[in-house]
Amino acid sequence: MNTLDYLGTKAGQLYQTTAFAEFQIGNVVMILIGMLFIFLAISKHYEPLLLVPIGFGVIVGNIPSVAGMGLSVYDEGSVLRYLYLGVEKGVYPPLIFLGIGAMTDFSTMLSNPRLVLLGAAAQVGVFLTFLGALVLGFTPQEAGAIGIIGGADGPTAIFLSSRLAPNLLGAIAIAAYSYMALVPVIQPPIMVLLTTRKERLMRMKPPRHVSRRERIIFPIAAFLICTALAPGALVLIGMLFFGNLLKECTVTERLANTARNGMIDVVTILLGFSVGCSTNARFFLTKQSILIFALGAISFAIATASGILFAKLMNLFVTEKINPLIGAAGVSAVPDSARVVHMVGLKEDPQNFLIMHAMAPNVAGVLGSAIAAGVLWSQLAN
Amino acid sequence: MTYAVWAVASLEPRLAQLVWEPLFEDHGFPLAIMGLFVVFAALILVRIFIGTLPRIIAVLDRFFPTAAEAATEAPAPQAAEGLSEEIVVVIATAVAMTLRVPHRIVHTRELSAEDLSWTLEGRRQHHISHRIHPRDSR
Repeated sequence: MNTLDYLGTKAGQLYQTTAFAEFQIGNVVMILIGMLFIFLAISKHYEPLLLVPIGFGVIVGNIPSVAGMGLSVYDEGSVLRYLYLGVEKGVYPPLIFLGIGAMTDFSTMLSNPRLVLLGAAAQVGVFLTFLGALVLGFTPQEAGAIGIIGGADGPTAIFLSSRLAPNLLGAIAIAAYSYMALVPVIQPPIMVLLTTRKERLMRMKPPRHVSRRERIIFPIAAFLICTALAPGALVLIGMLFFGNLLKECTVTERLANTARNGMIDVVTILLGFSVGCSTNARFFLTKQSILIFALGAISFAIATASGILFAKLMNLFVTEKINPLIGAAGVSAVPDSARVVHMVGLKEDPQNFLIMHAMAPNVAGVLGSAIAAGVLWSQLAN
Repeated sequence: MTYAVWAVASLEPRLAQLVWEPLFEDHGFPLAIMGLFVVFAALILVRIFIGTLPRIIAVLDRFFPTAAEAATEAPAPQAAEGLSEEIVVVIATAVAMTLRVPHRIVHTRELSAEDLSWTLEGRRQHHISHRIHPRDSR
């Protein structure tokens, strides 16, 4: 063997140990999608705390691993696999709910309790999409996991799909978080389409002062009520209200601070990154994923519309009218959808501040989607 | 790789056509209606509970007065350092009465050194206008 042949053989061997040998067009597409996520996060500020970890995870997850080396989330024993276990076993979502609970102020909901119903109305999107997914040929378990995307609650969607349809987890998680990030794009046209200018100009009574005692009693009592009816929501709602109690009781300020700052940040990084890593083109670029994305968009749009229409329906029966825009905040993308409601309201009347009113259905939406997930899990698990 | 094989195997081509039968099975319409019912029932109960909460608090207050709460409640935040809340309200009212049209404060910021450049330049020129002579060493 002459020197040239030897070098050629070695170059061939070297090529086989690089990622180029296994690269496929799908990987390139996914890497571009990952870059798009990072671009949207940095330049458009669309949920940067989620899209940057997910986007970079997508890039990492689409570098083909070399045969014999356990590298990806799908390889037993790899480091990424261990990080992904928190997603697959449903560990991360309840921890995120703990942090959300420690951040959430239920005062606006306590001061105007009828707005709670808007959080329930938005869950119509979840169940209609569930039916749509059944018609498209998904199994009931998969349909349940897809439907919950309409709740616009990433952790809940991940939790439920890890329980019911782990094979769709990557697609559902990416769809749920994408739509959460796209709240400012998806919701305003629906809101404008379904309301008149006069309705958008409606002003609402400022919220009343809520005492500390009320804020302490509420998480305990609401937990008992919700889980008595939907025990499947025990983990998510339990952690949500536990976090809220830590915040409101004021004697566990250190724990509340950790839950809403350091801990939720760590879990968000791990969850976002490992979900991104699970989107290898081989498993992700399928007809199922495309259908899941389409159904997710429909689900989210129906949820938004349901909240608005329910607010209009309520206005037929109540004397103190509700600005129907705040019905759109019934989806549980906290606080993004409340912020979008506020911005749409401000466009019509720069003096009409809706954000505090919109926070009520927004946090009720978190409860609603967790309860919906609990019902679907308890009914479809077997 | 076991997991990978399982994941690929689960992607069977079964999503080619619309199937209506599952809608009429137990896991179709009945589950959707029941799910919505549970969500509404739970949140209606929460709503009722919140509605009665002030009365519960009133009863609790009768037996367990909230003096401690009043003491531990954070004081009302001062709107601005050095200004009482009343003065800030008076200023805001005066602005509203003077403008008499809907208005919105778009942006507020403290003046930076750049904004104060005229002042700073004046001060600089003032300082350099005095020529400093060394003390007479004679």
